[in-house]
Amino acid sequence: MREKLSALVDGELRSVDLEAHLGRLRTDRELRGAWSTYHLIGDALRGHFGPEIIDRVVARLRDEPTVVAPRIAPFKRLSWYAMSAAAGLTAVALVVWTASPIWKGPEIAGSPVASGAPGTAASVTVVAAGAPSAQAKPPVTPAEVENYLLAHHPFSRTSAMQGIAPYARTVADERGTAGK
Amino acid sequence: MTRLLASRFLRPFRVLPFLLPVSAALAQTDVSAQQWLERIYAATQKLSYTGVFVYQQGQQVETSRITHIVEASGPRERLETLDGTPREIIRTRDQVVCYLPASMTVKIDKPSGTRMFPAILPERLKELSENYNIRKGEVERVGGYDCQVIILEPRDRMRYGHRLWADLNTGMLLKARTFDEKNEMLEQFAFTQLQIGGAIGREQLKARFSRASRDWRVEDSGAVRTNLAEAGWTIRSSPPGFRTVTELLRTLGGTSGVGHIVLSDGIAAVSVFIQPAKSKQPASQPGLVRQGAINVYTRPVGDHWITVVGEAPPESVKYIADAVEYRK
Repeated sequence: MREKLSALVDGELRSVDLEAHLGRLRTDRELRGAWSTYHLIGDALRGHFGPEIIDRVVARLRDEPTVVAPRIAPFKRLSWYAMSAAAGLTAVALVVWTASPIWKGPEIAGSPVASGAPGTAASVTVVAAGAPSAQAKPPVTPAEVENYLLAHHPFSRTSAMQGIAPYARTVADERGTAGK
Repeated sequence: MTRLLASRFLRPFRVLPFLLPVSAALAQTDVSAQQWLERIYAATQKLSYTGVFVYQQGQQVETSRITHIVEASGPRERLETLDGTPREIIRTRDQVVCYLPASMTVKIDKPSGTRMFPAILPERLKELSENYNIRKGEVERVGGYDCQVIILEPRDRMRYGHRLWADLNTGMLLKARTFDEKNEMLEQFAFTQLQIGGAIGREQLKARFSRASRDWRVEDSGAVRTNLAEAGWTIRSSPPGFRTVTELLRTLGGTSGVGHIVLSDGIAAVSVFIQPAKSKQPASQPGLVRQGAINVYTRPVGDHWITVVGEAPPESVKYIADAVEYRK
C-alpha cells in the first residue's frame, strides 16, 4: 500500500490504480498522514521548504543550549594525532609546502590555535604555539627531504610498478631548492 | 580440563567476527582487476621500453625521459630529467646511482641482500584487497595506447587512492594518479610518448656523467640489513595492513648508522629513519611536510630523531612516527 502511495507521490501510478488509490486516501486517515510525510520528505530532498518550516527550525535552534565544553575526541583518534600532547608543550609547526616551486618556503597552514583542548587534536591544520610563525623553521629542510626520498624510493612498491619514474619527485624538489 | 576444551572449541567462534569483514572485503574485489595488477607488475619485470613522461603535482609539471631494457643479467633503467636542473638516475638489479650535477654529488645505494626491483609477491596482492577496494574502470586512451583503467579505493583513511591506466596489449603502466580522501588529485605520472619493445639502443642506458671524474663527491649509502629491535628500536603498532618489509642500517646525508625501516601495505611504502640528534640541523622542530603524495613527519625520541617518509596520508605517517619506541 505504502509503495503505491510512494509511486503516487512521484506521479508514477497508472491511471487505473490512481482512481482506486485516491478513493482510499479520502477515507483512510493513516494513509493521509503518510501522504503528507512523503511529500515533506520529497520537498526536503529537493531542497524545497516552505518559509514556515525554516522559521520553525530557526526558532528551535535559538532555543537549543550552546555547548561550550569541547567534545572529547575518541581515544583511538587521539593516538592518531598524538602530536596534540606535544603541541601543548613545545612549538609544533605543521608546515605545508605548496607547489610551483615546491620549496619556495614554508607556508603555515591555518592560524595559531589555542592548544591543549583535546578537540583541537583532531584538526590536521594544527599550528602552534610558542614561536612566532614568521620565524618558524621547516621541520625538515628540502635537502633533508631529498636525502630521505632518494633513500626511500628503491623500496617504494609504486616504484615496482612505475620503475624509477617516482624519482622525478626528487627532481621536482631540487628545482625548487635551486629557485629559492 | 573441561574449561580448556571448551575454550579450544569456542575459539573459532571468537575469531569469526574478525574474519568476516575481511572475507566481505574480498568478495567486493573484482578478481580480474587484481589480475590486472599482476599483469602490470609482470610487465615492469619483462618489458623493454623507452619514452617520455610527465610528473605533475599541483601546478608543477616536470618532464623526464626513461629507458628500461631487460637483459640476461636483469633489468637496467636510466632516468634523465628534461626540465630544470639536469639529473640522472641509473638503476640496475642491485644498485641505484644518482647523479646530481647541481651539487656535483653521486649517490650510490646498494643495499646488500635487498633487490632493487622488488618483486610483488602473490600473497601481498591478496592482502592488497583487504586494504583497497580494487575494481576495473573503463578503457581509455593514453599516449596513443588503449588502456584499461584500474581503480584502487582505500578502505580507510590511512592510505591514498590510486587510478592506474595499463596498456591493453602489454600491461605496461602508462598513467598513474594518486588521490586524497576528498578524491582530489595529489600527483600524476603519465607517459606522453612511449615505445614498447622493438629496437632500443643500449647507448640510451649510458650515463652522461662519469663519476670517475675527481670533481664528483661520492656518497655511498653502505646499507646493510640489520635487526633494529636488537638495538632497542621497535614500532609498537602500525596502521592496519602495513607490515615491515626490510630493516637497514645506512649512511644518510653523510651521517652513518642511520636506521631505516620500510613498511608497506602492498602498494604504499613508508620509510622510517632513525638518526642521531646531532646529525639533524640545530633547532629542529617536530612537524609535517607535504609534497604531492609524499608526507614527511619528524619528531624527537630521546637523543634521536624519527622521520617517517612515505606516499601515505599525514595521519598514517604520524601514526607510525608516534609508534616508534626505544627500549633497551
